[in-house]
Amino acid sequence: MLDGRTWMVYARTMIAVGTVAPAFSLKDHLGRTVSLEQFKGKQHVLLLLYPLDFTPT
Amino acid sequence: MGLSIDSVFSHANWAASLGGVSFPLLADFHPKGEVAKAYGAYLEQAGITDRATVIIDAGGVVRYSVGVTPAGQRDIEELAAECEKIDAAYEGAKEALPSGAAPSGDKLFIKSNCGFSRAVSLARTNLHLEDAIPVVNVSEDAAAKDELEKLAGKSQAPCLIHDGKPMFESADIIETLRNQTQGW
Repeated sequence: MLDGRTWMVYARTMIAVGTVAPAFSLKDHLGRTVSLEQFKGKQHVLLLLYPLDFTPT
Repeated sequence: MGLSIDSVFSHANWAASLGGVSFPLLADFHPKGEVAKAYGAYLEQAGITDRATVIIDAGGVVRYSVGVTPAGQRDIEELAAECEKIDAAYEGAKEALPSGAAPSGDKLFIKSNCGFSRAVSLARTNLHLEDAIPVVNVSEDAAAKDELEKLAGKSQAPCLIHDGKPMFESADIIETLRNQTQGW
C-alpha cells in the first residue's frame, strides 16, 4: 500500500488555470459519447478524475 | 463528470453497484489516460489517474485545477465555494441548469432488510429523484402496505407504481428511474 508521501514523488503537472481546456470526446458508463464541446456556451463542467472504479472516492 | 482509465464495462458495473449515478463516468481507456495526460493528471509510473479536480467554465477555460494524490481526499467545501466563485465571475453565455425532475405520479414501495429494496432506494437517491418520486416502507407503514396491495394486487416489494402500473423487477425499476432523470 502506497501512502500519501509515496504518491507525492510521482511527477504530475496539473493543467494551469487560465488555459483553454483540451478538447475530449469519450464514452461514458452508459456507452454515450460525451465531449467537452457539448457544454460550450451552455454549462460549466466539473471534471472529477479518480484512480480506479470500485475504490473509495 | 467522473473520469478514470477504467473501461465502459467497468464503469457500467461500478455505476450499477452504486445504484446508478446521475452524471457521466468517462472511460479514458483507449488510448489509456490520453485525456488525463492532456490535463496533467496522469501518473505515468502508476498507470492510473491522480485524484484531481478540474473546473472548466462554459467558455471552455480552466478555472480550477488541483490534484490531491490517489491517497488524498477532495475538499468538497472548498470545491463548492470555487464553483460559486467561478460561476459568479463568468460573464459569457450559458444556459440555465435544468430544474429537478417534477413529481411524476410514480411511487416507490420498499421493505426493510431487502437488498433489492435497498438497491432501488439508492438509485432513487443517486439519480436525484427524491422530489419526483415518493418512497414508503411497507414494513413500517401499514397504510402503505394496504395501498400497495390495492395498487399492485399483492404486497410484494420493491414495487414501483409507474404510469399507474406495478413494476416488481429491481433492474426494470432502476432503468425506469434512470429514464426519469433530467439531462445526464
